[in-house]
Amino acid sequence: MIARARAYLEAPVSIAPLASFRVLFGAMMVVGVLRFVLNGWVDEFYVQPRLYFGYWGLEWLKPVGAAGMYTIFAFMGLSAMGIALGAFYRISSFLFFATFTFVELLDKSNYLNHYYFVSLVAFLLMWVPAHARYSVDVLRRPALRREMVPRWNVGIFRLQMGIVYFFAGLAKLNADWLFSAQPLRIWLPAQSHLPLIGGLLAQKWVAFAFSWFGAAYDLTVPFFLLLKRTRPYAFAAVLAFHLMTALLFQIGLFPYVMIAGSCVFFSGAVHERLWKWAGKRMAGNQKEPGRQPELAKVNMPGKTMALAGLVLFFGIQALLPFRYLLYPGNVFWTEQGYRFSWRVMLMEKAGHATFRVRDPRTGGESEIMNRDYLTPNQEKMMSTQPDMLLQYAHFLEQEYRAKGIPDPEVHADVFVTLNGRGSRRFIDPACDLSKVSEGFGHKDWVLPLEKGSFAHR
Amino acid sequence: MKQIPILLLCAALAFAACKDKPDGPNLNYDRSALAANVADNLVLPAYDTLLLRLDSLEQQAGAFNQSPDSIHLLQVRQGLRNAWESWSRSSAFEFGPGADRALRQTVNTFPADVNQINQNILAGTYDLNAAVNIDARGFPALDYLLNGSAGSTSDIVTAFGTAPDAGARRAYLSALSADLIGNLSAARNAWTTYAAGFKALTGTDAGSATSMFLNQLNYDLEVLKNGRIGIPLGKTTLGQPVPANVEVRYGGYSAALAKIQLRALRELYLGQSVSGADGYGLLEALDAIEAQYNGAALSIAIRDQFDLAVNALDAVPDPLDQTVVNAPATVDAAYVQIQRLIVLTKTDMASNLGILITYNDNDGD
Repeated sequence: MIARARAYLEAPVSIAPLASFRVLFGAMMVVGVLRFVLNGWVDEFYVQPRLYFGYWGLEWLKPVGAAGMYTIFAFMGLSAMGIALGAFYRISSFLFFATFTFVELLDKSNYLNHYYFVSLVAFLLMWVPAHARYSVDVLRRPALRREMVPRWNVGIFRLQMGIVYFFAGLAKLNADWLFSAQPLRIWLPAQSHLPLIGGLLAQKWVAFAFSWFGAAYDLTVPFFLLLKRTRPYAFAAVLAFHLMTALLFQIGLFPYVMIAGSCVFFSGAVHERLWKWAGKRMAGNQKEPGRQPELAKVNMPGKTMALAGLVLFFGIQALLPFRYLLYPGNVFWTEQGYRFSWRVMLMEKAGHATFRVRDPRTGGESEIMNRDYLTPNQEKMMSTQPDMLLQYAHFLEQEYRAKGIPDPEVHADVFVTLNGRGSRRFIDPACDLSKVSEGFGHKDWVLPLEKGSFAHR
Repeated sequence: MKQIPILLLCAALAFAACKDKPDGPNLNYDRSALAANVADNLVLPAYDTLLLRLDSLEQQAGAFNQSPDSIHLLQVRQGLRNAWESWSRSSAFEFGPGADRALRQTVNTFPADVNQINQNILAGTYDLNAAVNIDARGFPALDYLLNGSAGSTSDIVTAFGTAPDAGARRAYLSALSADLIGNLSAARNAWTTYAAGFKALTGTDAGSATSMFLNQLNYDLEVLKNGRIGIPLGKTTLGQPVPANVEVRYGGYSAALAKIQLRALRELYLGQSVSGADGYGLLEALDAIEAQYNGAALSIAIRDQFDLAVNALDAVPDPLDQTVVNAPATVDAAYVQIQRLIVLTKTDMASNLGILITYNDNDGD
């Protein structure tokens, strides 16, 4: 059984889909890095802030100053270019994964599901010879060139795409999404100024239609992409779906990344025809095809390890979205187990947090002006996410210790609205957050959503 | 799976067919009407009134400089108060031309830096746009000159009349009022051409008319809560009041300005112009989408909370610098009501209208 599975996974398939994926992904990332830098986000997110919301256990990762951050982004852009061109691929793919993931881990305020996706794909790219054809490296060292790779080399990217879709679909199976059409009924009418479809977007039934179609699409599209007969239709659906989301929501490059990524589902023959066509257009690109039908040589002794590693890699990914079940309460409200779970575009959440620092010796109390410490984006993110509220409370505790209060108490009045529900108290105002330690345990100071008291009434 | 194209076609036809007969309530609000009302009935008339009053102030300052006596001093003081009140009705418009000139900062940074002002008078030359003069210009600097630069009214008259540096002082007074007019008339003139473009920004993104208006309304509420009330009350200083940080430190009408500002913000929310005509405001927008709060209309909840805040603030007497020391509980009561109001405007209102409370234009997931 295992032997048959291995034989299947290691059977040779055309390298073309993998090479295409490499080129498209790398090119997207070049654009992404440029866009990030040109929008001034390096400065805004990684230079200007006074404090950073690091991940638990990784708080020691800190930005490295303006010059350092721009250098990192320069390397990120160059290595993305290296991936696209297949130039110095092993170094490029490692460097891209390292720089991108480092930057993403600096501040939770900037967490996006699609950044997580990029890190995962970049990680996978390090382990496959995606540069063994149609690459600068092959021009440099023709001996690298391979026509075929083991099936799993291509399969892991299809699986990765499939996981994103399927779990995003599962996450949509919740009452707000299906039965209240939230948050789409807030977001879609916001686009009603668009020509042609604008008027429709303001209709309640359209919000419901989009919600249900969206869930069905996410849950099924990876399977339809896998089946040869349905693939062209499924890909048309991919195009329509993501172009629609690109039009309607401010989600940057994500739709285009997913469209490009979905190309990996097409067969080797399709991709080879594509390359041949592209090669003809760029005359003299590839020389005489020296037939070398053997596999790209993956390190033989490490192979079992590699496969075990992949099982682990995907196994963890498949489990992470379910960790919310370990916590009581609504995951959208408490956000315990929220991140790294493909909960994409599922909530409209806004909050207002007022922190109070108290000197227990005198009873004197100061209210914090969040703008003194946080960027507007950080304040917005912090106001609705319990772990960030706690981090901020601890930062304030240190800040006031430094001001000469030996053991300051930190309390917060936080009000949050979720998917159109009236704003209500989010955390226990009596809880001294300076005494609460961080971690993955249940945060019992987060008040339950449904029992939450309405603001002050 | 050959049916898929047929299904898509059917869906498209269904969409097209339904376009003329809406099914169920409309979830949308009229952002064009909102933007037009903001531009035509809220921003422009407010700026026009402010400019008229600044013109009067300049004339009164000129008259006082010509004949520095107590009658003219009282007149220019009143002119200052009139113009400052008018500014309190305009400070929320920090978008477009108002933001380009950073009006909140150039017009009303308080407390004024008395040493810097006196240095400028002594030096006789200064660039009010220089960074060092951020808190040596605008209304608070005029407040110091006209209400606080010497002990009594007659001392101030002397300071402008016969004191050795009287000429330099008179020149500073003129420069300050000219600076105000320069900035405000530039913003007002820019609005003439800006208005059409503003009305066309009918999206909900960070640069849209609705977003800018709503964000600045919230920001102005926070300025009111923190700068005008909270800081003097000691909210950032472990409960120890800081009376010196009130807005009108010398003239003693800080609470009056705060009341005017809060009423003005309430009118902005309702969409009411200075003349009292009720246009399309945020209240109408929330009603259009039937936004709910605690089982009732959110629009009414916010209006009621505005009323509670206005009433609580009305109970706070001037001079505020004494009230924060002698009757802090009254001020705190107003503070709490404004705080509750901000929860509603910043979370419920913004969220229901699909507007982000943030000033940068970044991606979501």
